[in-house]
Amino acid sequence: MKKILVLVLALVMLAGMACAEVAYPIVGEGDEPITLTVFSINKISDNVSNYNETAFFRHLEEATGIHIEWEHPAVSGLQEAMNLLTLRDKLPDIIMCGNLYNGGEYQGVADGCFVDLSEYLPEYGPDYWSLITQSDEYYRASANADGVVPAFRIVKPVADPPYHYMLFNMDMLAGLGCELPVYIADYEPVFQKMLEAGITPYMPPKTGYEKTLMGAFDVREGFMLDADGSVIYGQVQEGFRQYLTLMHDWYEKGYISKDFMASSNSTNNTLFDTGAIGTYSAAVVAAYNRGQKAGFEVSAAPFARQYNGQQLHWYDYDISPIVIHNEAVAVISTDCENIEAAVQWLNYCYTEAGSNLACWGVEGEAYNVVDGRRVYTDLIMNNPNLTTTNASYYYKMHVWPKLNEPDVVCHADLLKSEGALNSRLKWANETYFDSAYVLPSVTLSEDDLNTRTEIMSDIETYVNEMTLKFITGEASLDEFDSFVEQVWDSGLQEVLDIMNAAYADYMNIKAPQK
Amino acid sequence: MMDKRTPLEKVLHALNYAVVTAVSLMCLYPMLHVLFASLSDPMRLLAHRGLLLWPQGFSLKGYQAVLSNPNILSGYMNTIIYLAGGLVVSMVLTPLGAYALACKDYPFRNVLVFLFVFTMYFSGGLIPNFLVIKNLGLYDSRWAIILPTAVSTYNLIVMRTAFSSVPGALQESACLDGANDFVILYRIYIPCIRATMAVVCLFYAVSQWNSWFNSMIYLQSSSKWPLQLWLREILINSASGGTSDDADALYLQELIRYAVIIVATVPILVVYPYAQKYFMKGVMLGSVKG
Amino acid sequence: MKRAINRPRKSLWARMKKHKYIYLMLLPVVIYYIVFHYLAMGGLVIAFQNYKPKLGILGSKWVGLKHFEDFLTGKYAWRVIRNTLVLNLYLLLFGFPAPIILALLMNELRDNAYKKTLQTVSYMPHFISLVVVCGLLVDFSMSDGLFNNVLALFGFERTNLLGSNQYYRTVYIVSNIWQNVGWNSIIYLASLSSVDNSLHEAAAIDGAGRLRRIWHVNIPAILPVIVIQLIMRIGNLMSQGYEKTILLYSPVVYETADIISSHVYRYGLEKTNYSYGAAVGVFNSLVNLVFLCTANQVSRRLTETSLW
Repeated sequence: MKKILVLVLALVMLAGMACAEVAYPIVGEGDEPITLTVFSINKISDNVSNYNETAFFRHLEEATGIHIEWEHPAVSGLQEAMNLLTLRDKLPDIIMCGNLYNGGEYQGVADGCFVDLSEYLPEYGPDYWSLITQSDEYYRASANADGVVPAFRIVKPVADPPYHYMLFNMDMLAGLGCELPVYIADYEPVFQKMLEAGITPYMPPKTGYEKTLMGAFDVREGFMLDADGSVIYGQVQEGFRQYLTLMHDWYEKGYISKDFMASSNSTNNTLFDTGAIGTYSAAVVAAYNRGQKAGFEVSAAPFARQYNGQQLHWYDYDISPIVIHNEAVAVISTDCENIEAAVQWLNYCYTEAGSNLACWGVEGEAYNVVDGRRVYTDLIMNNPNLTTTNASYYYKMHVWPKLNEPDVVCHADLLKSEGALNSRLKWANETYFDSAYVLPSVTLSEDDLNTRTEIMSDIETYVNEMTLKFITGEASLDEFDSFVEQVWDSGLQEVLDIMNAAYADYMNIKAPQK
Repeated sequence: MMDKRTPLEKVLHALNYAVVTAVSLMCLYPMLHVLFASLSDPMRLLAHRGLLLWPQGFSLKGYQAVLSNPNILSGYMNTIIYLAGGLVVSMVLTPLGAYALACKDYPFRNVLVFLFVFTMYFSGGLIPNFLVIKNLGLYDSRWAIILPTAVSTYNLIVMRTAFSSVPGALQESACLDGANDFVILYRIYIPCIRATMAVVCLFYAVSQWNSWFNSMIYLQSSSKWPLQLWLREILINSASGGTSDDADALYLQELIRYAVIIVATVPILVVYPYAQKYFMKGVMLGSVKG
Repeated sequence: MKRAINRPRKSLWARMKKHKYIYLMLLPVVIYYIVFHYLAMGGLVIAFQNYKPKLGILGSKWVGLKHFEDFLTGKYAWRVIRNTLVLNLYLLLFGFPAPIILALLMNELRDNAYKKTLQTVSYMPHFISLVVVCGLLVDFSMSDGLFNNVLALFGFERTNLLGSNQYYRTVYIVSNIWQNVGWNSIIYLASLSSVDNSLHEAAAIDGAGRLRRIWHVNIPAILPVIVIQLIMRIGNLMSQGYEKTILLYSPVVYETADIISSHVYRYGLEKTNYSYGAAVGVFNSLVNLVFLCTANQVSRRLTETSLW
């Protein structure tokens, strides 16, 4: 009998450990609720002076049982505030912008300021833990080779569709008798017609690096992967010469604005809205909304390809399920007296209930279910006291370390207009682009980082200057070979070796076996 | 003033007016641009390029956004506190130091001048200065905004130059008199340089009015933040609205950018004439000499 | 400095006692400088270390002149130093006299109300934030912008001014002068206002015309101010903030636009390398100090005015 009892007990304990769950709300010792101090910017300082006044955090406190005392630094001085944080006698318990620590959040753990969460997560943060250990891909983006997990980050299993495209004014195109260009060769006739109509056809970005066009030649700006998976530098590749040749050709023909290198984003928006330029690359929904106000239809051109059947590998938006965002990399400081409670508090937003609260708010208050779909209420969409953007931080928490749903599903700003949402979804289902050439963000050791900064600082100055000179013709493209040689001579190989080693280490990280 | 005007002088006189007027118009334009932009309808404003000679459409949304912000009033109050406190401290310390440095022939005088000027070029840096403030117990205290900027070496030198230029003054005896004459000298020399006093006072006031960096790093409680810091916060927070896809938010940010400048500058424009009358010749009645 | 001859040299302490009230006046000021400037001055040592905030100043590793070497042997070191000096020299050449001339001109105006209005208007650009000013400059400098419209009137070819090495400096310098001329003239106006009227009357009686009077009465009166301002300006030849440059430049004009501070700003973007920034700052300040001391010495010989 005793043996059976022991066996049953053991089984129960094993079962308990295997699917650890946190019982919310968390009860502290004694009558007082557990209190934690949190360092975070106040995104809606226009409306509340303290996050405890928002509906979201009131609900969160009810659900978790933990009371928060907030410290809200100035948004304009967040980096300085982080730099000075270590000089205090006692760090706040939780810091929401841990990646701004000098050297990164991994350095923060190495310096002894932040807690290595891997010790606490299995027991106190099981929802987050099971999310980040579900596959090597998730784990690599959350921990380093030593198994240190420094922070809670946003986990977004389903990616958002692209948002940055070459934009066209459809009414203008219709007037010129053109259609949206699909292949690189399609652009010239459209540009020619625009030029003849007195419109400046194309405004590239100020740096001269147009991501979509470069991608059609299989190059990216900066460090990238090649077909074999080694790290290479984009601007010394043959594809970059082809890209520059194309851009220079267009510049000579007058398709590119002579002012592009000194323009600014807001000037470009103005030029596009007034029909002074034909196309530029920008966020499609913002331009669509502005177009609606001005009275014309904006549409995105698909990612340019050289030929039908080409597979593009440069796509780099939302490609990792772990999202790094300045305000949502939550670290726990070693001065915290109740690390377990802090972990549990942060873990809540990765549970189903918590994720729902953070992404949608409370049913009945922030949203209603209509015909099986969730629809935001007027409190969010039409609130006289709050803009929709600010309401997304009051009734729910748009940017927060949580299990996140895509913006196109739950972001109130996007859901305001059907047309705006569709403009974003237009090319979302195409399959000819992937991220095979995109280098994930790898962390370097301090010495490596110093070496890289020292060498690359001068190389980048040189490369950025020459790129613009090649495009405008100030430097002849015959000099491209000597340009490449100059870059190699400046120590590029040393940096590539560092990057390759770091990438190899990164790819070797494996999620712990269950 | 005798007024013998030859034709040449008349031409020069007219030219004088013309040049100064032209310069002033060029200086007036940007403020008008900002004023008109802050009152414009944002969509038409963004569509406009080149000189802005009148508001494009009309909209008070920018001012509404800035002035209805609950923190603006607290910002103004705090700035006035820092201004008053800072001016009192600065205008006591600076004349003392300037007068003493204007005297010559005493040991270490040049050494002290050099050491003061040295601080205009070398500073310990952000972190060591932060540690000093913290160890003095001034972190999150209003004194951390008033004291570190109490004496500006530049203003000290300006005032010293003015003391040295008082005609027929500062002979050796003047710098040697005992405590009694200390006060009398003070009562004579300071009025002698009334214009410079007004200017230095203006410089300190404007510097304190525009400052935000020290508040950003030393003041943890947002209830103590001055106006400029809040204006920056408003602008940056609305900028995150600018990265959103909401066209209204983007437009609002433009308006706010301009409205913020007007809100911050109007008080200066209002107060300035009171300082100006001290250093614009024309109102100078009474003799310069004591 | 004259000393009476044949007077026995008193001891240091005796001389100090004689001036005790001077020292008393200086005391609060000295305390201020010690507490709020010199206590932290030891922080300069991070320019010679690999400073890490966590380790503190005492714990960080000493690297001597490494950062200075890195900066000065960099590929673009000469270019950015040259650009900084050129900009500041032009600003000195044109931007230094401008407020003086403006103050002299304003001083000659008769109509008080008009004069005061003009003066108030002239300092306004000083208060417009750099972001807005640069936004205007970027717009006006475009090929079809205001500046080009004016250039075209005179037959010049249209070109983006901020994208051209030929014109970038001009835009930077002229806008700098324009933004600050009114504010910088205040100090000269203040000195001019203390010029005794009777001196002007005497000169007028002697038959001196307007220009003569300006040359012989006004300018000597404000000469000490001018000299001191000039010395301090020369002591800033290596300083030029990065904010305006960052807002105006682009890689295509690095040749004339990239200055020390913008170069260091890009260097530090990846990681806050305190030591490198501190080292460059120390280097700049040392050179500035040398310029300052030289200017001071020269001024001492040539005029009676000097900082020390």
